[in-house]
Amino acid sequence: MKTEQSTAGRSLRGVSIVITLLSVVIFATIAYSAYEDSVGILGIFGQGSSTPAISAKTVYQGSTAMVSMNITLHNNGLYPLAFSISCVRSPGALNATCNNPATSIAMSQTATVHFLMNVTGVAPQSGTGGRPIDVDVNVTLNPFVSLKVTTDLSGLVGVVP
Amino acid sequence: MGEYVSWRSRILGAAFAAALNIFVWVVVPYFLYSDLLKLEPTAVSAAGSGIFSLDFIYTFGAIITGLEVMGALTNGMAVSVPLISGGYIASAYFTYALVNGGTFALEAAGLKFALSFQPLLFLLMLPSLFSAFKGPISFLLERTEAGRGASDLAG
Repeated sequence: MKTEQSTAGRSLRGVSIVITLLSVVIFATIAYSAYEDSVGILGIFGQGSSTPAISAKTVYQGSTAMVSMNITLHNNGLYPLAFSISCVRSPGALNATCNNPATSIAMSQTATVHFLMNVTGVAPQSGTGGRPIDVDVNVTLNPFVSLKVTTDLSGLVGVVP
Repeated sequence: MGEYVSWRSRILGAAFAAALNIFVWVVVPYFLYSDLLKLEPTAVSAAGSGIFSLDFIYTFGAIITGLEVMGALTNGMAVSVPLISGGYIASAYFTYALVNGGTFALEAAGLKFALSFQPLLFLLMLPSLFSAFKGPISFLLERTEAGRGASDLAG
């Protein structure tokens, strides 16, 4: 004999359906935002159809190289996008100090990040001598996903002709 | 007692549970693992704390599939409740351990990547954890007076 499900049982089933639907919607929106923001960020380096939105300049004063970089980002996703750059002291790396810029970009908004870095122990005739200058680039799709990329910027401190 | 479930429907349910669980918990993680190895052979050793391996995938895939299949074969019996709940708990732990608690790191193309997605991981585990909790509660409610409406208020 089939018994009718109790009110509490139906409520639990309803909650289960709501949780599943909520998960599906959130995952779909995160996937869309991650794709759109990835295309946007890769576009600042000239990949894809977007025009580059990054400019860098290096000025030498004795054995110190001063790097300034402007990065323009547009948030094409559905969640706020947080972006920051910070210097990292890695073993064998050159001594570098940064202004550690950080910004949070709302949906459909554009922001420009001004990154300044002083690198000491650089010889303009020989560059970094093969030593890296590591920085951490943090990109966060608030509040769900955060990606940190550690990259070497020694290519910006080249040999002065 | 509970509703009668024929052995034919139990066996069909068990076959479906076996196919679905093998696909979700063995085949998909296997291809993810293979893709990660192709991306960067050292990436797998850097990812997580060494848990992400074929042995782990096969072991937990077998445990989850076994529990779900046994739960389907005992459908309608009280013993199916802990089996199915155990399968959900095992799948939640598998998800958590596979991605190292939501912190995933690897090196590729000279860059170091560190991905952190704990809130997303919780959202991924929530349906399994809720289902593990819902099963026993629903079973107890269906079989006790506390779960039924008062007969004098009916109609």
